[in-house]
Amino acid sequence: MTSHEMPESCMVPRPMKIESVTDETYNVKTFRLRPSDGGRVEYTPGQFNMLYIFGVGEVPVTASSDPYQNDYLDHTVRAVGSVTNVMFTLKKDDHIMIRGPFGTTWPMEGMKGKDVMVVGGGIGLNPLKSVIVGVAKKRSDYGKLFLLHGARTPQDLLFTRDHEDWRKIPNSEFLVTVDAGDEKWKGNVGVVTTLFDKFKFYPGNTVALLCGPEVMMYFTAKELMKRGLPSSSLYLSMERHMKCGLGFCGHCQTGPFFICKDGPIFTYDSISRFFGVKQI
Amino acid sequence: MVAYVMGKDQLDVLFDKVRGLGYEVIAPKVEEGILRLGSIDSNKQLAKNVVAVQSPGKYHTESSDLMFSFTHGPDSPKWFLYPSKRKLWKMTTEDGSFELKETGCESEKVAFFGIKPCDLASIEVLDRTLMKGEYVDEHYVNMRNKLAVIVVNCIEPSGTCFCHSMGTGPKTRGGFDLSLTELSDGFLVESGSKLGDEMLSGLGKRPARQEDINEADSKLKAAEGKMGRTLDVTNLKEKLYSNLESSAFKEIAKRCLGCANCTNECPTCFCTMYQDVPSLDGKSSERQVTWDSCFTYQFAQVAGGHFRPELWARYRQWMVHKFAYWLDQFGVSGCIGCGRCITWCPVGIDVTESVKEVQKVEQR
Repeated sequence: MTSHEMPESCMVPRPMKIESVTDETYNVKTFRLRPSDGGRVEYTPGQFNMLYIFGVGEVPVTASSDPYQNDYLDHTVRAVGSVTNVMFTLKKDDHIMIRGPFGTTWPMEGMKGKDVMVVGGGIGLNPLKSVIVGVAKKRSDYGKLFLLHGARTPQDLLFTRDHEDWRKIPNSEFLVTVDAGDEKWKGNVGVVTTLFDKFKFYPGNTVALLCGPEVMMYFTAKELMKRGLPSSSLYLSMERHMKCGLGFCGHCQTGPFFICKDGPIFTYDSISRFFGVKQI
Repeated sequence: MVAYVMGKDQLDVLFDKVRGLGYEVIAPKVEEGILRLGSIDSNKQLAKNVVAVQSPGKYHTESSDLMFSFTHGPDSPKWFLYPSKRKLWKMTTEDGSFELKETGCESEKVAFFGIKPCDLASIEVLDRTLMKGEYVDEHYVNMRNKLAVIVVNCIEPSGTCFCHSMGTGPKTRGGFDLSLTELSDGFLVESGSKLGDEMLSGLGKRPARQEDINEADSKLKAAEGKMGRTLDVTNLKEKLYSNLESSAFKEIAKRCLGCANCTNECPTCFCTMYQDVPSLDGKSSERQVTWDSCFTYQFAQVAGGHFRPELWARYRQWMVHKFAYWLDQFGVSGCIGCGRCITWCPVGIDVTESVKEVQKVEQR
């Protein structure tokens, strides 16, 4: 058991240069990061990096970039805390450092040949974007793509710039809903489960990937299972307070799981005993 | 394993021998009326002829006819192997470039002289968390690889002890360089490693006779029955998983102060905080790791939310982690039965009682 078995990148952040900053919504931005050393990035959809602002601190964020390239990482961030608020002051050519990637991945291989249902609630669409991009790129590897996105208000809908492209993905359906519309909103109003009556899917041949607030995932999972989706075809991306990413600091524990290394992606079956237990 | 008997006067000689082998010796000493573990450079500082009297929320030492058979104080090996505050690295920045300066992995050759079987077991538990998984804690591994252990089997357990229930004592289950058991006239000494053999060479000793071994065995057998606390761990993980929503947690939490003393005292609690300490000029920053506790309000808090806002849920997290989650995570119980969390709880909450309560009270 020697130190070299664990790459230094797990503990020590690696400098990345900001190539671009894109406004996604009024409080969400995407930072495109390239390694300052000119090296490559490794990443599989679902995994997260610890984004570090020098001298300020770290936050765990899943990458949202095209998984079939190794040149850059996109990280989509909502300004909510001390680190992300500082991050929002950064511009092109500033630096963000990263540790990672950490954690488990969406079943990109395992769901080949199957219909793929992606359900993203609010900023929860972020960890699913690279799945959408990945499936679109290798379109013939997968069956039908169902893309469901819910947000609090029309202004909170994520990646609206990409929606037009996503609607053009062959053999796909894209449905959007908001909890509360405004005078201009003509689409669906209601929680994301209200979308399930609007399309047909074959539960026996579908894999569903959920990410969003826990209560949204809880009810979405129940609804999908009620409609015949086997629990073994359900995947969730869990969120907790993460500090180290290595299973040492203990903050992200949820039942017997360390979300950072046993997750963040779980099969519903593996976590169901603890999922939904209050304040677990 | 060859056993020897050494006279009680040889304890000091052994201490000097270990120091002579180049070890910083961490041993028990009496400070302000309690047993502390600390660096000792003379055998005169070694605690002798005392006994620790422990009960929920209470601790004091008394004099004893037994020379070196007291239990423990608040400190455990964790304090040295996984210190409460350390630097992970230091980085500097200049004109948009970053340089890693220090990684803070240096460590001394340390010998624990006179720790108890429960505490030795705690090292085994920490090993699984910090050096036997996918990732390793380099500082811990460095300390661990240079570590020597002289364990003293327990013939006089304290009032909050329940190591026998947890299978970690009163006789050590292994992993030592030397083990001592106090006899009426001397110590039964067993070596567990080449280093142990080396420590024994030159000591005044004779091969143990069957009656010495019998005396040690009967004293250790008697100690099993002298534990101040007991806990039935049969199928405990399943029992706790079935009672996660027991109202007993809320009852216990009415007394809990959320002070985190139990997690600091626990020899296996490993939760830490990672934080950055920048210099005033903003040109350098240190990543520090400090002990944290699942009892603190901030522990499971994120920007914009809180996963365990209520104290009962934090008590549940700690207790169920120790006795159930740990088994799934690391294949052993997180509790080694030392009883420190009971002794050092300011309001004397007894975890063995808590575990029983949770199983008793109906889920709501």
